[in-house]
Amino acid sequence: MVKLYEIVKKNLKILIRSKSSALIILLGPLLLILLVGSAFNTSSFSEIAIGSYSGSYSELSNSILTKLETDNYKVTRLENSQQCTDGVKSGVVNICIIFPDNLNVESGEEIELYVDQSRANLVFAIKSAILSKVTERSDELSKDLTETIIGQLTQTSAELQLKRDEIINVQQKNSDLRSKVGELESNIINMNVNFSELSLIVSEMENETNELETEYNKSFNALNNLIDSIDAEINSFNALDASRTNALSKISEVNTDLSSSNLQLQTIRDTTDSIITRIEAIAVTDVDSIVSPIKTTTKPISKEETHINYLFPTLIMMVVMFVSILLSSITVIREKTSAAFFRNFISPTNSIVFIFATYLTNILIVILQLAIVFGVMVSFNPALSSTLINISLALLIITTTFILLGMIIGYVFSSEETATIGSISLGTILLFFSNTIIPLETLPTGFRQIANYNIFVIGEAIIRKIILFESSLKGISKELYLLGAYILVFIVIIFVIYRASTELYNIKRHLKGK
Amino acid sequence: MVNQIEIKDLTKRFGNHVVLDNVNLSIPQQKIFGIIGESGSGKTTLLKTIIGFWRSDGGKIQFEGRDLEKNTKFIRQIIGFATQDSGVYPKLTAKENLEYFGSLSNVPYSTLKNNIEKVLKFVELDYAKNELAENLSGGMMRRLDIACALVHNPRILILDEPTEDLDPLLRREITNLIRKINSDSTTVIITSHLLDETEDLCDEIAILHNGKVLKHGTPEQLRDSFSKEEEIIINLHSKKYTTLMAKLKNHKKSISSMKVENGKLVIRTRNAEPVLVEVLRTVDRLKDKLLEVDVRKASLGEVFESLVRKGG
Repeated sequence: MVKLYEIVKKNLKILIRSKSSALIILLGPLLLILLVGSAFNTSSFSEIAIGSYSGSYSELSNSILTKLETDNYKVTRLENSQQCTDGVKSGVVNICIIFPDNLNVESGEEIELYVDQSRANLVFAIKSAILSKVTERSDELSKDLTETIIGQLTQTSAELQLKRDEIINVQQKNSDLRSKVGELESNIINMNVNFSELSLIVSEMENETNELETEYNKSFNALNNLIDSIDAEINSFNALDASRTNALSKISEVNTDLSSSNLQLQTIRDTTDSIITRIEAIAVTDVDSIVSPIKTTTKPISKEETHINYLFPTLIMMVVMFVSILLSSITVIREKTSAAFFRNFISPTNSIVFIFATYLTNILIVILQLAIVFGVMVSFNPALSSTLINISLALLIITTTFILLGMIIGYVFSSEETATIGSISLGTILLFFSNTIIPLETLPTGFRQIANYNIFVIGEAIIRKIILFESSLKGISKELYLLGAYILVFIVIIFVIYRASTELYNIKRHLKGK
Repeated sequence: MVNQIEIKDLTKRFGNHVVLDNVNLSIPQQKIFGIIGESGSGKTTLLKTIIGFWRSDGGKIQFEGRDLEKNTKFIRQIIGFATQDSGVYPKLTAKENLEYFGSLSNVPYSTLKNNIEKVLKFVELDYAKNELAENLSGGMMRRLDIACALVHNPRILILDEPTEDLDPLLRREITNLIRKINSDSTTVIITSHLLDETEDLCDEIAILHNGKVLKHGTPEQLRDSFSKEEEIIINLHSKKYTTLMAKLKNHKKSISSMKVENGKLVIRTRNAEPVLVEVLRTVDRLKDKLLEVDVRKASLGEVFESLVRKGG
C-alpha cells in the first residue's frame, strides 16, 4: 500500500511539475469543454446561410423564403444560379435553393436544393430543416386547394338533396295524373256501354214503328218524321261513339307516356340518391386529414434540450477517450524511457504494483477532469445532477477501459513520439467508426457489426442512455458487461506484454547505447 | 575470505551476439571489486545480469549462497545499483527521490526517514535535499544517484562506471565516497575503463574482454602475473642520462632494459634494490640533482594492454 501510494504520488508530482504535460493533458480538455459548452448551449441553428435564386420570384417562392427568415436563417438572394451553387462550394452559403421562375402551385415545377455533401452532418441537418419549411408551405397550399374541393362537393350534395325532393314531388304528381286518366278511361268505357243499349232500343222502336205503320196508317207521316228524327239522333250517337273510341285511344297513349315518364323519373331519383349517398359516404371531410391522411409527429424520447446536452455524451466520450489513452500511454512511455526506470525495475517491488499505480495515477487525473467537466455541464443543465451516481460508475468503467488501452500502447511503443501518434491514431479510428462523424448505419453491414463493439460507441451509448433517458444501471448492463470483458482482456494483455516489452525496450536501448 | 557473490559459467546473448561467454567470478565480501574492460567488453551487461535485470542464457549466480533465480526479491533487497546514467527522477527533489526509492525497497517509514538524513549527510547533499534533481550539478547528481542506491542500507553496492564523464576533482570526490561506503562494511562492485583509478581503489579486479574474464585477482597479483620485473624511474635535473647509463652497465645481469621516456630514465630490473643503491651513488658522484625517483611494478594499464593483446 505504501509503495502504491509513493508511486502514485511520484507520478502525479512529475506530471504536475512538467509544465507542458500539465498544460496539454490537464488543462486542454477543460478548455475544450468550456468552449464547446459555451458555443453549443443553444437548441437552434444559428447563422445558417441560405443562398437563393429565381429568375422571377413568385408569391409562393417569396413566402417560403420569408418562412425561413422568420426562423433565423440568413437568406441571401443571389443574382444567378451559378453564383448560388458556387456559394455552396466556397462555403459562403450552406445551402442553395433555386426556385423555378414564377413558381406556383399549378406549374408543378421542382425547387432545387444544392448542398455540399462533404459536410455530411450539416447537410443532413440543414436539408431536413429547410425541407420541413418548404413542406410546411406546400401543406398550406394543399389545404387551401382541398378546402375548395370539399366546399364544392358539400354544396353539390346540398343542391342535389333539394332537386331530389323536387323529383319526388313530380313523381307524385305524375302518379296522381295517371290515376285520374285511368278514372277517365273507365268513365268513357262505361259511357260506351250506355250507347249500345240506346241503339238497341232505337232498333226496337224502329221495328215497333214499322209494325205500327202497317197497323196504323193514319199517323204515318207523323211517325216518319219521328223516325227521321230518331235516325238523325242515331247518326249523332254513332259520331259520338267514334269520338269516344278515339278518346280512349288517346287516353291509352297518355297512360303509356305517363308510365314511361314515371320510370325515367325513378331512374333520375335513383341516380340522385346514389350521388348523394356517395358524397355522404366521404367519411373524411376534414381538410387536414385529406392533405395529410397519415400524420407523423417526431416526438423526442427525452426532454427537449439544448445542443450541448445532446452533444454531452459524445463530448464527454471524446474527452475521456483522448485524455485516457494519451495520458496513460505517455505516463507508461515516460516511465519506460526514464533513466530511473532501471532502478524501479531492480527494486524488490512486484511489477503488478507499478502497473496498478500507473492505472491509479491516470484514473485519478481523469476523474478530476471529469468532475470539473461534469460540474461545468451541471451549470448548463442542473437536471444532470440526478444522474450523478450512475454516470460516475459508468465513467469509471469506461475510463478504466481507455486507460488500460492507452497503457497497452505505452508498453508496445518505444518512444513518446510513436506512442503519441499511436494513441491519436487509435483514438481517431475509434472516433471515426462511431456515430460522431457519420451515422454507423451508413457503413456496410460487416463494418457496422464490428463498429458496434467499438469501445467509443459502447461508452457513448451508456452515457447517452444515462443522461438523456435517465436509464438505470440495469438498463445499461449489457454495455457494462461488454466493457468489463474488454477490461479483463486488456489486463491480461498488459501482464503478458509488460515484461516482454520492457525487456525488448531495454535491449534496444542497450544496443543503441553501444 | 567469504565470497559474497559466486558467478559460474555465466552466458548472455543478445540475438546471436554473445556478450558474456562463460564468465566465472567470485566476489569477496566487504571489498571493493573492480571490473575493467574496454567499452563494449560486457561490463554493464555482466552487472545487469548478475542482478537479474537481464535473464542469463546459461550459468549460475549466487548471492550469499542463494540462487538468483529463486531469490530475486531477497537479492534486490540486499543490493544497491547506480548506473552511469543518473537513475533519478529530474522532476523530484533529492529528498523525494530518496523517499520514493527507499519506499520501493520495503524500508519502514521511520527507518527510511533516518536513512535519508544519514545518506544525505553521507554523500554531502543535505544542503540540497529540496532541490529538484534536474537542477543539481553533475557531481551532485552522481552523488544523489549513489545515495538512492544506498538509502535502503544494501549489503552490496554496484556502481556502473561511477566516475564516467566527471572532471578529475569530481572523480576524486566520488572515489573517496566509494572508499567511505566500503569502510562501512558494504561490498562495492564497480566497473570502469579508467585503469589507474581502479587500481588505486579496488581490492580485487577482474579484466573483462569480449565477454570473457581474462584475469581476476588483486592488483598485485595481476601485475605479478604480467611480469616479475620492477621499474625504477629516475628524473635528473640535467636530463643527461648517458653517463649514468654507462655506469650502470656494471649491473648488466640484473638490468633487462634502460630507456629514456619523457625526459626520465626508465630502468627495468628483477632486482631493484641494489640497482637503486647504485643509481643513487652514481648520481651523487656525478653531482647531478635528483628530482624524482620511483620504483614500481608494471602498471595495470600495461597488464591490461598485454592481456587484451593476447586475448584479442
